[in-house]
Amino acid sequence: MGKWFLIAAMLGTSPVASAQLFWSTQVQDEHQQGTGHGGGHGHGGPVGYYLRDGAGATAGLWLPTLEQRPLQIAPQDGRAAVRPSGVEYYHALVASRESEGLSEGAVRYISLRGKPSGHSPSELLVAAKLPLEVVPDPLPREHGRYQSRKLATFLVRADGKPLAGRTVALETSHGTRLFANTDAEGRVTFSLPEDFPQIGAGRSANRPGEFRVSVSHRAEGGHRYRTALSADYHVNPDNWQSGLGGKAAALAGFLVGLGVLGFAGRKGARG
Amino acid sequence: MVAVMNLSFIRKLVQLAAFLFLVYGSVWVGFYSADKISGAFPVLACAYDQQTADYCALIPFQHQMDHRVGATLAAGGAVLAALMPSLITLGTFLLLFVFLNKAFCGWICPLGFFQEVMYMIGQKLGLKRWESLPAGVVNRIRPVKWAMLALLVFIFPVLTGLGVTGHELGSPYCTICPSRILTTLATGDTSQLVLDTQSAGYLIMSLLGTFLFGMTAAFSLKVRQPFCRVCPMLALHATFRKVGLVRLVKQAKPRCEKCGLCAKACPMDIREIHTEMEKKDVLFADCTLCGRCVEFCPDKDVLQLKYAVIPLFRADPVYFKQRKKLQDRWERHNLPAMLRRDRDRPAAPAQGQEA
Repeated sequence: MGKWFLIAAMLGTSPVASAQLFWSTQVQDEHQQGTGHGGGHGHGGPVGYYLRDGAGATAGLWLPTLEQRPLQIAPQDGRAAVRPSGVEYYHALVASRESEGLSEGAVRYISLRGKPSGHSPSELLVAAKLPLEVVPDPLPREHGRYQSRKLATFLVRADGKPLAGRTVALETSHGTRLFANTDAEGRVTFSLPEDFPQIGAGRSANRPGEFRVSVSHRAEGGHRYRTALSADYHVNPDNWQSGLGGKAAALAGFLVGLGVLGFAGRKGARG
Repeated sequence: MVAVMNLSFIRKLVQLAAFLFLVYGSVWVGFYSADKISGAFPVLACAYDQQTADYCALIPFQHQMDHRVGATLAAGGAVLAALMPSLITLGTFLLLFVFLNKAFCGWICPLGFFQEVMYMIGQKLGLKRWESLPAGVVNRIRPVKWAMLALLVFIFPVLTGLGVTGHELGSPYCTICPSRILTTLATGDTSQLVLDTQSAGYLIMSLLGTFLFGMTAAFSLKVRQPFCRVCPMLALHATFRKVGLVRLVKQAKPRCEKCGLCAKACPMDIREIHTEMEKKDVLFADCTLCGRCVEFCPDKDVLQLKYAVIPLFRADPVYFKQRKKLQDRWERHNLPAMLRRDRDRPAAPAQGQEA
């Protein structure tokens, strides 16, 4: 526990002292309970995005085209008024806050509906949105998602350059905390924890959890930076899927296929 | 060299390149390309393959039927607005389809290529193969592709959106599509070769999908293009084949009645290519525009592959002779023949023994 506080203090993410800026799909009390929006396939209700601990922060929506639009944040619960941008796929919710000697930032990548933008999400990821930034490497593609027991890699950048040898924290809405250091190229990889309190059978039976990857950095002049990237993660489907059963069924299909052909072939096949 | 560089060989090269592009294409065109190139490609390139460069039109159709059309109808919303995304997908599909027509099946589809490679393996292993399926079997199989398209791509997803059927029938064709398992396995991803035990419905669908994949692999060893015959993409292509620029045309001659080599060469057992004596357009619903019928037609210009009005490839007696010779040589070389040759080869004289 003491080690955690020491590292957390280094990161500026102490659970006691810190009120870290980050984006969430969960309102405050839901987050404390570790619950969020539904995990079904497009059948859940509309997702709301909340800027947590966001007093004094400004927020904006970055489009795939890198156009930036200001976002209104509701003062009572921090809900962002995200409206369709007209173009589809990944957008970035970006928030920042300046205080004495500290610059804070938070990013969350969200997918919106609309017309094709003609721009790759790579452009949005490469663009420097904050002085200190955690960037997914890569973002999950369509039909892909962050899952428990799977590896997730992130790139830490300061002023657009990789930040090597920096301790990065990953915290989940279910209370897990992991720490790892960035490599020479500024990359850090975590195995996402399977820390869901209950696991049901099927994606729609499990609400996704949220994780937050945070890092801090002190510049040469002594100015401090702190940033957080947040995203959903889902229960690994291996919990209700059987790889052995799948291989056995495919093998059975193969053998039955050969059997059917062998039986039928006595009449009409040629060698 | 001329004999080797035949249409079938060129087609195999194109199929290989298309397979590499559609299965691993993100390596070259960028990780996110599949989500932005077309999203409505006219072959079974799978979105579950996280390295693909594009994905097939059947995926958005199923999602749109479930999440937009079915859900909107259930809520009493405007049907036309709900259909708009599907119309955009169809328009994108047609923009691509018009360039190659049904040749997307015969030249580009990764699952089609897989089945042809399996058939070649079957030939090289010396397995007894079906040269042609009996006419009665072919006739019974033909309607299945239309049922697959109607039920699995449109009707069940709409019913799911309406809440009539369960989520396991929200994208039922993807659940049983052999290309989903093939293309993910090709990237070393076994996550699609699974039984899903979350409910009886999911279990049945995943069992069907994995079983069908195994069966397709087995059938491909001995039967030409077994899955293509029931593929809903073939049915979708057949619906719009009149708008495609690549055509298969025939100028029948009296000799055609006695020949029938074209139908024998057809991997889809389309007998009508042989029997049709009136119509010039012989691009039938099951055709994949592979061009084998043109290759194996011995009469000059009787069969032609055309791009709009421009002839691409014509039947030619000289080409036919070379192609036939090459095919016979290909058929003769297989594992049992090689083993027989080794067994029948006279033993080398022992060292020091006089010849």
